[in-house]
Amino acid sequence: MELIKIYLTLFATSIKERMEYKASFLFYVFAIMTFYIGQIGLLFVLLNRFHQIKGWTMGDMVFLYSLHAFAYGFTNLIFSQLINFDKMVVDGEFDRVLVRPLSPLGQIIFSKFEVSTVAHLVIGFTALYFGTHLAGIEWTFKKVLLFPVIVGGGVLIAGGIRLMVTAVAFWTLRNRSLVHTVIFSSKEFINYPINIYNMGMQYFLTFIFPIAFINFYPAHYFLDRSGEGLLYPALEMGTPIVGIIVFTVSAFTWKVGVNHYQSTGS
Amino acid sequence: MNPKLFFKFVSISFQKQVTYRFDCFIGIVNGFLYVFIFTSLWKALYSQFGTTMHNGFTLTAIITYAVLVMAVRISFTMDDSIIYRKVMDGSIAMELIRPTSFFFMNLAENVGHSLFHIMARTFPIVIMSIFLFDISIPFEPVRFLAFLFSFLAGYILISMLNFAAGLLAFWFVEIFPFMLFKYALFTFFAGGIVPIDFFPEFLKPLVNFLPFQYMLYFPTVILTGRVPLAEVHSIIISQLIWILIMGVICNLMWSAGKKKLVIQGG
Amino acid sequence: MQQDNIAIEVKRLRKEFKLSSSGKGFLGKLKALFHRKHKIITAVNDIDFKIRRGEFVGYVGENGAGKSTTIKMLTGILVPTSGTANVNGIVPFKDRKKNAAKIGVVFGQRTQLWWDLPVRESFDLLRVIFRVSRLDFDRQMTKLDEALGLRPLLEMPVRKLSLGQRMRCDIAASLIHNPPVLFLDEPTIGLDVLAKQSVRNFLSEINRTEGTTIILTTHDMNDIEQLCKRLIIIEEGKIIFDGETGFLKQKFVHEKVIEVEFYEDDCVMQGIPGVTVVREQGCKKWLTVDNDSSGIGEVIGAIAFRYKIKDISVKEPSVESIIRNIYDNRVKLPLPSGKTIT
Repeated sequence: MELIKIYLTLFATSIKERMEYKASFLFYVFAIMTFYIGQIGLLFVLLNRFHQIKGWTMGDMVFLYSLHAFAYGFTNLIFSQLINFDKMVVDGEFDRVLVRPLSPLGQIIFSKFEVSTVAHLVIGFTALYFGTHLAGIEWTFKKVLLFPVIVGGGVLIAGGIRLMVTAVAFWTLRNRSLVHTVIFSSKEFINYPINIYNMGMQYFLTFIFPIAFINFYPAHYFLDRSGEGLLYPALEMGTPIVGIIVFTVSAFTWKVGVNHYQSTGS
Repeated sequence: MNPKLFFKFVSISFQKQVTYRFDCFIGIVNGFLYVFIFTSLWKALYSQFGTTMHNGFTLTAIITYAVLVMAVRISFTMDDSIIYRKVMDGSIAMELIRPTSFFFMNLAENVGHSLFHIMARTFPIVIMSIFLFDISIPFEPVRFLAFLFSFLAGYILISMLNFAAGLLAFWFVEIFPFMLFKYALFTFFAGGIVPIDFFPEFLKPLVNFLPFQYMLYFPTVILTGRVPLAEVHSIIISQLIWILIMGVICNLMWSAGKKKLVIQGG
Repeated sequence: MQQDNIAIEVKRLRKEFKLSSSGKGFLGKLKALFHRKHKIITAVNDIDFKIRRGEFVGYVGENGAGKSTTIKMLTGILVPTSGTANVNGIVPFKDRKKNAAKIGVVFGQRTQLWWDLPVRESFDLLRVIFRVSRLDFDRQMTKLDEALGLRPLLEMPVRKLSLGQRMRCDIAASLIHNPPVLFLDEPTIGLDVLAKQSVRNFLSEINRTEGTTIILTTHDMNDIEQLCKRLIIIEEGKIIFDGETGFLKQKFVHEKVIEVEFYEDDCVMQGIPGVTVVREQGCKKWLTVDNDSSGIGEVIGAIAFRYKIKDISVKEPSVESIIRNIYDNRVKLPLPSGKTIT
């Protein structure tokens, strides 16, 4: 209980710190929204011409996008400080974390408040609204209940991947470009239904780098789709389980990384 | 600026890049990831129709465009935070007492950066793509020469855009939102993902009003052969006009920034 | 000696680092993966020492001598290769969090305060992190404010503080939970003379009034001379001196240096007993006088008798020059390394 209070205070402080730059806060949110609107705009341009992508219409695509936005929004909220983690190791900031009577990961997670979450949530809700209308999603009680569970699983997947790739910094020190590719560029894969890729890539995005579980597989359930996904319907509800597996593996990697740091001091 | 000095700066900036070999490898993966995603997307879109031509692009032509536009884009890689950092740590004041033009020094630094990315990333990605995808590039020496001109003009335009955006640091504590905003507009309007030919009619006036298409879209379509040779000169003239306009903007901003620096000491 | 009188106890503490020799760049690292050409560096080589409660110890050594590594092991950042350490009865690398709650750490080169926030916010947050009750916190803050003059700084964002102000706040921040042991890594680095002095005054005061055990690493020998009664010198991972700072001075000062400036540059010192000319520069001469031969006064008298003196001063060798001599192996140490004087 006391621990929760400590972390909440830490988090509140990071929000205060972010609010020191109020003007840029608003513009930042605006800039991120522009970026995503641009992405959806391009989707619109394409579908205006081609009507659908491998059986996915505008409504389906927008819904796919909303799951994606929610998952990454919450992931950014929780795991944003990890992006600069290699700098913390190189500058010796991590030593500072180790001389405080708290878990290192806990301190890092709650030490930064990421405003892009606000933008992601706005985009997520807007996309959810339009996706529902355009694709005619029927929100049964079960679907409403499962939606946050799926988003939570997506956060575990995206956050777990983030944790794993940042832990690499314990061994290699600088890993900026790796972090950038694995965290940001790879997001582009699931802007589209993954059945547009060849089989090898579909397996890769399902079993090795399982970001397809963030939106592609669960979207089948919400859209009442059947069929074209890999191993339908067994994977449709796989998101929470995959999330737990990915996160457990990365938490373990992180732990090994901290031990490595404590024995080598990098 | 003395050309010898210019190339000295180019070479220094180039060498700085070479030190991070691991980053370079990841850079290839990162670039190829985008090529893979967009070629897959176009293949999926085209496969849905019996017709082979959309908005003037055959499947081969659109795949060629997707590869080359990414290649050009990667060649344009530059560090757009140099000016920001110089303003933040105060070293910008040094630029006032240097006898060289700040813009050209900055350009030299960018050129060094880009040359490295061209050699280490653009070439490998293009070569890999030639083997992996169905690509056709017309082999006409005159066209290639025209492309080089247009490419250089596009490069200078982007360099100017980044220069102007970087100078905003004189007036704003944080310019990352501006950079993101710039990136969002660029991704959409420069044709980096979807060629402008696919844009709906109502967007065309806006596209033509903005300089972005002259940075990426036009150099690329000159190379792919989509633009008849007879029209090339008018494109290059438009590019030069934009360089003039951007030059005036950069100059005004730099003078205003200098004044602010002298009066307020940063 | 009572066991609970000991704040820190270090026994045969050893830290080895593996250094991959060809590990430059990615390919180099890849190669090293197969070759396994490692060089083992012993940063800390089986050191022993005990520090009693309330001691103020200077821990010095050249860069890479192993002092940061030792501090990192005592604060729980690093796990040693072998040996044990005990801080406040806790093994730091086994019980990192428990240890962290009972020590204060100041890294001179980086702040522990939240850069963009007013100082007060950092203090409040650290109060929560270190689980200090509001009452204890207020009492401690009053004390710290009196000694460090924090009040005018509290509402300022950390980024606007001067280096000296920031260091005062950083030290205060490390003492919020009133730890019995305080580690200071280069706390005066980069500070101007006045700021250095105010930091020193404060440190000596909390050591005296609170009985806080302080371990200080520094390159500034004035810190040592003014603050540390006891000095531990580490060199290439081994402790080469452990004893009273005053003792070091007394023992190793065999000679005093006289700096004389004459009106002419052809003055000859031959014939004055016990005097050696160590350096000459124009009309200036630096002379050393043997302690056991004639006294300084006699020597000065003899010189003044022969020549007209423009300026004269007698210099005690500073701790810095003594330590420099030790590093350069010019002074033989009479003490076996690692022996504690208690």
